[in-house]
Amino acid sequence: MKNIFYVLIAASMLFSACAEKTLVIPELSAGKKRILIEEITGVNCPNCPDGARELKALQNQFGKENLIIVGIHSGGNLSSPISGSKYDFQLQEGYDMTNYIGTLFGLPSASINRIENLADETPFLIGGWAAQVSAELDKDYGLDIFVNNTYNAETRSLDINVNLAPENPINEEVRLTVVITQDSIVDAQYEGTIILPNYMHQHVLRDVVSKTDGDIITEDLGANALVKKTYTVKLSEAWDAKHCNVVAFLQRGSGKNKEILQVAEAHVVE
Amino acid sequence: MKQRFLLFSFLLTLGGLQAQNRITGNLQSNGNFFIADEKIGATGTPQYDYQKFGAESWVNLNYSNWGFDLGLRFDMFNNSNLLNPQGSFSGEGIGRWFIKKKIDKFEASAGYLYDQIGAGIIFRAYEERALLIDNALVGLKVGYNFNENWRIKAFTGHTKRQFKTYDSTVRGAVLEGFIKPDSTKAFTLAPGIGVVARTFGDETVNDIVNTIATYAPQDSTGAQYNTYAATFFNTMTAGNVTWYLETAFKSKDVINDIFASNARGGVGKLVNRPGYTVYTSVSYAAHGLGITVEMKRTKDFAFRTVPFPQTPPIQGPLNFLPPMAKQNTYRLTARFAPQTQELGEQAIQIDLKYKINKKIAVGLNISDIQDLNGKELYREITPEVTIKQSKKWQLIGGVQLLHYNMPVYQGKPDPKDESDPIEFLGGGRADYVDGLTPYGEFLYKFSPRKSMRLEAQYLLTDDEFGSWVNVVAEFGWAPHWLCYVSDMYKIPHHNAAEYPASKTKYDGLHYPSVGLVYTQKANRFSIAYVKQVEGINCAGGICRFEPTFHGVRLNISSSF
Repeated sequence: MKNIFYVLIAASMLFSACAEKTLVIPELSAGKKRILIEEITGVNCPNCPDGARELKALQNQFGKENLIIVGIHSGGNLSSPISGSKYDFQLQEGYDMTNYIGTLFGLPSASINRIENLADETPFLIGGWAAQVSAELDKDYGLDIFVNNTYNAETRSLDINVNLAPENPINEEVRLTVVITQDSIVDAQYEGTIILPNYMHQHVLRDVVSKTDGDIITEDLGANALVKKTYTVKLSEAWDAKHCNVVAFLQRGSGKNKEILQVAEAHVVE
Repeated sequence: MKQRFLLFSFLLTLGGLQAQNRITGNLQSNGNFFIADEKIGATGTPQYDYQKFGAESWVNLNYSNWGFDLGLRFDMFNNSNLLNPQGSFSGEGIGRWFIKKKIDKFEASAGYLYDQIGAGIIFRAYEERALLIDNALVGLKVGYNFNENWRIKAFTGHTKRQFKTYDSTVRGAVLEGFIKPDSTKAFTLAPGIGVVARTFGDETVNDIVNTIATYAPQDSTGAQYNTYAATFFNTMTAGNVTWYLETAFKSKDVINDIFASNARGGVGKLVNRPGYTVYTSVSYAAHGLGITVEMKRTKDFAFRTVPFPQTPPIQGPLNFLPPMAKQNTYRLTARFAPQTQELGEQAIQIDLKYKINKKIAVGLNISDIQDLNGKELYREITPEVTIKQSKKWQLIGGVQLLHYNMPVYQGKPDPKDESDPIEFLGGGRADYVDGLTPYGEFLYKFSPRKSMRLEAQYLLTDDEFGSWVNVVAEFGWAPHWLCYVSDMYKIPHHNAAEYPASKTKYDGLHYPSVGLVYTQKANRFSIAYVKQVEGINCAGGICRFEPTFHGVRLNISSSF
């Protein structure tokens, strides 16, 4: 028995040196700031294809993953269907969103992160988009948003899971807006004085899943908190699911300042 | 080159020694011819698409002399789907060698070693060929017998990974004893205490750090090189009662929590948590009655060589957690087998057998497995009766009532049933397979050498693909011949149009098999045409998905 005791002590020494140098895990930070561009456009708007080309150029310049675009057909007559149109892209929710963002002066125009233009007190800019995008990309609020979609092709039911992951605390009212857009829709579009019958429409707003002025986040958004929001919608039969995307963004919610703090986009079908 | 030299030297040595001592060994070879059949899903793997043939073989040699035990095993995999049923693996070489020497009370082994501590909860190096698990410890083991009742052993090495090793190192020790306080009474204790430590290799630690570096801050976790596990176990025997208890703890360990939701909205992330497992088994056997009650509670006890998912995920274990469900052998009662949940489960299993008289015996098995929050994962109730008429015939009949959590065990959703034929079992709840499977087996001996065995099962369910029936007829002419024919049939849905195509895709299909086995002393040869539906294949609570098989299987096994 004495021998066993000695051996036990010896064996335990094999494991006694338990303290070890701590492994250094890199300090993690929230994802890079992304920009939301809400473009007000229309199929009956002769200059709008110029706006679409400008946005594509901006995506090429700043990175497609950094610039998320929602095309809202809410320009009144300029967004109404024209000869040869198969679809009407106008939505009441699109008009509601536009009215909520601010005053519209003409098409094409775009709100970039809903930053107010001090000169004319409207968030909708006509021209000067690149400078505004560049300025917005320099900001960082230490916040990330993750969108995860689960789509059932048989029932066309879409479960949208949005995770809000602040690295820094957010101590003000913020609102989450979730919309569905669709790419690659071939339909008529005016350009100048001619109608392009097979124009490729991108980023077309199809549905606003949340309230149009955003759902107020009541949960605590302290440092490193994780707030999960879930939405379920049924995709219209008229939409091609493989070209649909979910866009979710968080904005300042109280008062006039509606600045978008972060935005994320995910395909409905990966 | 080194391996070839080793093999050559070993064979030369054995050749020279053969005159003095006998060499023993065995051979096992499997060959699979794959026949693609899109209708049943037998397609999409390299074997079906272009390789057409896969094989695996093990040749094992053992030799003992002068207190030495020597062993050598040649392994060969040729476009084999055994490692990964959806992939192809080729390789050949020395799959195992070992040398063992006993010097008085001291014992030492080196090479590829199989061993376990207690029930294997903190350490088990073993081979399970059906799943190609071979996690031998490549290293050194020493032991010392203090007396005939007490011994200690210690080991260190790396875990085998096919023809390589994982970079993590393992070391451990166990002290085991046997106590019989009173030689006149049937009361004994067999206690033991074991410890194991695993140190991640640099490459694994770099992978861990780099993986965590991609996480959102909300998912960040710590990590360390070393994890320690300790266990205490004891078998107490008192008359007709045997009681086994094992309690194991593990310090913080980086494990892959496949069920944890991450900040990015997905599922699965590395976590760094300690864990424990408590397992106990009490059995009583006397007067024709046999009762075994097992209980287990596990929390975060995945103990692996590396934390990352392997291909397939069952590869790379350091330990073995005892399964808590009946090990079913009939094809349809085994269709929904539960995989041991390393991250958390609490389970109880009761197995009752009672021999009413010489002709009739009854049995009842109840398994119930829940997660740590009390959510039902698996429940099986199987009453069974065996009727034996002298040596002429035997009839086994039973019914399996099953409740099985599909997302947890197979990662697939299971929608709520619209018209569940066995609603009383689970109410057709979403995510659960509810099955009612009556089964029977009849063995008839025409003569001491000629026999026939018939078995049939009917799986009644509205879940997964729906109901199945399976029948097997087997004829044996001892001692050489055995042939069998079987068919598993997918019963079509009456209202197929109401279901998605994924549910009705196998409706009306037959999965026949026919095989012939020839045994000549220690040699066994078999050939079979097999059509087998996709499903879960388990061995000892370790399960994996295996796709549809269609083809011809050849097997040779031989001992010499």
